[in-house]
Amino acid sequence: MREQVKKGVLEIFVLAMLTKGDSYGYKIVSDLSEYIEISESTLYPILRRLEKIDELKTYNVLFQGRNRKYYQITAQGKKHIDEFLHEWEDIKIIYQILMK
Amino acid sequence: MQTWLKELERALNKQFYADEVKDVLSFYEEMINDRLANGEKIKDVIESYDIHKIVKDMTPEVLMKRENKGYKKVSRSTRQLLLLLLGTPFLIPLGIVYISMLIFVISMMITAWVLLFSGVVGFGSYIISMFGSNLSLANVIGLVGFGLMMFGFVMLIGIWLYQLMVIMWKKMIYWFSKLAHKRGE
Repeated sequence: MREQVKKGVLEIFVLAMLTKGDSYGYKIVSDLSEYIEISESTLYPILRRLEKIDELKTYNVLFQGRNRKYYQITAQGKKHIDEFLHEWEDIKIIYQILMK
Repeated sequence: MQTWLKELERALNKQFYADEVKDVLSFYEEMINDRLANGEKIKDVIESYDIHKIVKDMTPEVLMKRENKGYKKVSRSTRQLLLLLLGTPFLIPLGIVYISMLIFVISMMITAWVLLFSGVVGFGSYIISMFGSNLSLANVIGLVGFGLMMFGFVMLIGIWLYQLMVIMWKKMIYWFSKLAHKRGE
């Protein structure tokens, strides 16, 4: 996958991962790494941005004597995924029309 | 791990404010702990991070979020943004546009100050000349009233222009950080 496309959809991948259930930084990176190349330094700004625009919520859970920050997708985040998928469908339709 | 975190903290402190630094540090501390708990070696974990890249990656995001209240914060954010734009080859054209717009904003701010200063000086000399003239009291009162009106108008324009430029300066930090962030993607 081209670098620009990959980075553009990373936010969607993070949100999609969280629709399966709440998760924490390391697990998000590990789970996504199975499908796409992503590092912690790439993930950090994405999580902060999604949190800022209310597509994610966070809460802390005590784990082995330390705090672990969990991320939870919001209704706004789910809406973002739906809108993206609709746009993607539109792109495919336009492409098919152009290729006829 | 603590040595690396201290190193990261030092690098972040040069660029960001305490609350911004704390947030990043807690993210990486948690990440390192989780990787260690998952069986990775501390040496490998530390080696996988590039402090310079971490700082660079988070700069546009932090600048976009920052409120920039006060001259010191605005100038610090501007300096950081300039370093980011001019220090990244593909962002240099954006940096040149930013510098050009910055020169315009600063010129307009200087213009506003000059307007305010000349307004005060002009009004002062106008009043002195009024009272030194041979005009009747009614004329002097009328002309002083007119002078006050003009003085108020000039002050209003000067202050308005200055405040508009301050807002524009802050917005520019946001817009260009956003552009840098988008181009970085």
